[in-house]
Amino acid sequence: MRDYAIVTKDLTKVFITKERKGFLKRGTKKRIIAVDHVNFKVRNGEIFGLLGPNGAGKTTTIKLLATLLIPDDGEAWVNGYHIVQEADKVRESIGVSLYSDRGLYWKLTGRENLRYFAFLYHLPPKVAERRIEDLLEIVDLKGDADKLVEEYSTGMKAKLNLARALLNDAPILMLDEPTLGLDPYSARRVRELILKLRDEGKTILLTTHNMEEADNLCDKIAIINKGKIVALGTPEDLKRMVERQDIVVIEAVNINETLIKILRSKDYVSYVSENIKDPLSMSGTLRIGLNENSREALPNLLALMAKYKIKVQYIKVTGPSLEDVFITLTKRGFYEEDQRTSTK
Amino acid sequence: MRRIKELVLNNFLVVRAVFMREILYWIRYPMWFLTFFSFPYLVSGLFYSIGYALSGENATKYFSERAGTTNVFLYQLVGSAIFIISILMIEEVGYSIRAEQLRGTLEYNYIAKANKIVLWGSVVLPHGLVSLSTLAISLIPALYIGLKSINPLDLILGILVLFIGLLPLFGIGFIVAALTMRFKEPWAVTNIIKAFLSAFSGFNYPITILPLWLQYVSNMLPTTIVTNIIREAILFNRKLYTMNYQLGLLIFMSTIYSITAFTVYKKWEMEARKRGELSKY
Repeated sequence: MRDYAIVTKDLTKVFITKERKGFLKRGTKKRIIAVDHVNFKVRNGEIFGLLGPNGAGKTTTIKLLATLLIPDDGEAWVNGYHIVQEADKVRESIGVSLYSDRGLYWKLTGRENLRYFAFLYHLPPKVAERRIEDLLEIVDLKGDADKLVEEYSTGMKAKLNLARALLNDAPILMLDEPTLGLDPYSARRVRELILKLRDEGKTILLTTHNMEEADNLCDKIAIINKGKIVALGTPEDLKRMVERQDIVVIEAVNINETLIKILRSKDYVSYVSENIKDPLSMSGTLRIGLNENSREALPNLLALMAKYKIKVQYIKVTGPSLEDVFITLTKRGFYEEDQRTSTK
Repeated sequence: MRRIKELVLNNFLVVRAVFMREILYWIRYPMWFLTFFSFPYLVSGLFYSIGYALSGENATKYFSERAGTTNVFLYQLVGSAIFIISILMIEEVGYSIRAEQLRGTLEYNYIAKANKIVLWGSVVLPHGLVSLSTLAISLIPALYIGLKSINPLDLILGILVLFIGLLPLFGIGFIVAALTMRFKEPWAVTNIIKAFLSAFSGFNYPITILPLWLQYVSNMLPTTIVTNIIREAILFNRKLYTMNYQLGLLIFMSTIYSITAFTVYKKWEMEARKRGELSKY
């Protein structure tokens, strides 16, 4: 246990929701298993990623570990403390960032927000001021520290959230989608900061649905789907779980259902995952897993694109990524919750 | 001893944090001050006008006979001031946890090291202090006009009594706040409580005009006791130390309501963590 910052044992959370059915009809209760007997261990000083699509149970897992929720079954320890029986000790051991742009006092400045929370963490005024100065520097907010948070951009709020998570200098950080909604530059800065914190000895548990982020940042990843961990290991371990195959990534406009159906019927296609970014122009990305060598399949694919008037903007052949691991293991597209996705 | 000192200092930091946060919010939403300055006069004027409409020129005479004072306007003004301050206390405290929930700050406050009872309880200080001092400033001219000589010490003691009287109201407000972690509708409950207190606390008329059974109910309300004490002190020059029984009752109520409030909070905090209600908005 001593080597591990976080240990979960069959951690389970069930929510009861009510489905509303119109004006006067009584709603029916529905049982949702948000986290389903989850087991993982996070070593001290590593970045551990919970990777999964929206609604997979990532945030619920973090909230359970942060003592904001009580599990219905199973147990977990953070920094050696039990999350239910020693909740106060757990809270002293963690820094948490839950939303990138919420959870701040909009009528206070960035500095006042940090000062407020510093006092809630019992930092004496002089220590708090020094720590706030350092953190503002680290997250690149020094110039905007005395503006009201209501004037902050999403990126600035995300940075302030991160600074708040670091206030109490806790050994364990829990970051829920730390780069969500950030522009590429800010996202890169946040990722660099996360790596720096790991190098300083912090243990970081982060959730993300960004494959590249998980791949580049995490020492270990748990792929989570419908509340269950479907795979766990280093990014390399996970990618090795997928048979050696070529993946064709096509960015295109006018992607349509007919084409997807045709593609799925082809013998040389293992699966198709579709991520539509603009429903008006039907532009987005097609990820096509091949059963054979791409040299043989590529001409056929391009011919199909031309036949169905798909305007190809970019094409590349690549090896399996974490997205392919997810698709292979769950038989569903990663963006199924957000987008129309079809897998063979 | 060191541990106790540390505990006190840590809790003081929490109280200071909440105090500063609330004061900054007051300053950055400054129109509230206008409410404080104008409301006692407006409400008094309203009741004065209703009385006049109902009883004509004899209104003041009838009212004086029932209230036991000829200084009807000051009687109204004191009642209206306590009315506005009580209503605001119930409202602000009742909505406090819901406001944190809507802002998304509840969870961050919750996972901080601070003792939650101290954290939520600290709200009473800034609200009490701001509303009491603003009201005192707004009432001083009227008090001087209404009473030729007013002892500043009596005024300060009156304000102190009012502050003690706010504690049970904080308790009532906090019961609502705790329940809204689960039920999310502080508005409906606080509006009913506010209407009840407004009608039966004797803010603008003597409760002796109510049926006897309702007078018993009225006498159990902290707002009735506070209104009585302050009127007795300001209008009838009674010294506060002669009202030990009423003061004791007020302190007793403060204790009972606060204990009830935090018991309810503890129960619903656990429920909220089980049901995932802390983050729902």
